[in-house]
Amino acid sequence: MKTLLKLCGIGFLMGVFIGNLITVFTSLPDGGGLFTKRLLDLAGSEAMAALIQTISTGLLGAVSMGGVCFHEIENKHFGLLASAVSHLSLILVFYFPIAFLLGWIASLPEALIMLAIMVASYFIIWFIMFLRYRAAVKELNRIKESSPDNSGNEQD
Amino acid sequence: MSGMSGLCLFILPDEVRIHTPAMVRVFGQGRDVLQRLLLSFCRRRLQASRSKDQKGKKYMNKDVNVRFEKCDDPDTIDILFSASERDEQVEALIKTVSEQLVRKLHVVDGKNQDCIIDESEIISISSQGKKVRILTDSGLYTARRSLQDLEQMISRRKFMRISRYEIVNASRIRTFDFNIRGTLRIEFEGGIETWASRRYIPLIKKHLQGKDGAE
Repeated sequence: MKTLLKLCGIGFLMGVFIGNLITVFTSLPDGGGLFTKRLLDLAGSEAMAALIQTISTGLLGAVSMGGVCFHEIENKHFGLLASAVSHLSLILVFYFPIAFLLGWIASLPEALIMLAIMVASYFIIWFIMFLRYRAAVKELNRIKESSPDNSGNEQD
Repeated sequence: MSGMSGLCLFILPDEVRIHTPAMVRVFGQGRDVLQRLLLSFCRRRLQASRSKDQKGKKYMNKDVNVRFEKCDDPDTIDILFSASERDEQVEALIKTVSEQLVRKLHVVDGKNQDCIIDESEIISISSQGKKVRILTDSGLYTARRSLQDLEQMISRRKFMRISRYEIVNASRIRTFDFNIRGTLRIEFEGGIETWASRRYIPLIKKHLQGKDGAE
């Protein structure tokens, strides 16, 4: 629980920072700024827009970082694949409403492109981790096979 | 033949002497050959007679010196038996010392009866909530101690942690398997299986390599 809260705290700060960067880039077609036009229209004022953006991006960051705790859960039913899918699902559930609210994405095609990018990114991360773990386990078997205890000459 | 052996045993114990005037008279010039045969026979009997005491038990006829040598590893005691050959006396000493080294655990069986098991019987020790389960060749037991306590009691060389909740007997592991679901399955002799934490892979590796200070 302590780890989760710590990760969420760090995630919140990172989320606010990265969220503002995304907003700056997203608002470039409208002349640039700290908020998208869509958010300003929705919020009515810059102060309210800043508040909504800070809380939303912080929340997204907290969820993203806190979701790392899925990888801490390990049992025979909840392996690397389940951890990765759970983490990605959690991020997506929070990302799309926030992204629409803040004006990062404005249409369904854009949403689908973002979904594809995120799923592909996560697949690559999962695949690299899977290969690393598989290689490590292969190494364990090799060590086990070559250990003296395995040759029937157990010393004790 | 029994008469000859009686003669020989009478001449014994410390030195075999067969140069008696009676034998020379009886066997004449062929006495050297016969002496060698007798000598060989007597030596065998001498060895046999020394190796058994009056109750028929093995007789320890070698001097045994015990000495202590300091080593650098604070977690290990090495016991070395040094002898010209691994004979019955050495075997008996090894067995005696080994029996003393076998760690025993007090556990509770399925009928709630207290019993004692050797750690060598244990396949895995796992905690499930407040219960600590001990899986052995002879069945499932529970322990009254915590997993951490048991970890301190058992051999660090034989046992290793594979997750926060489980310790296994490394010598009983048949294979490790990392499947597509991303779980690390451990299969023991007899087809018993359990799951390890991925984060413990480096520790398991160190243990198998003997680099965790357990060997």
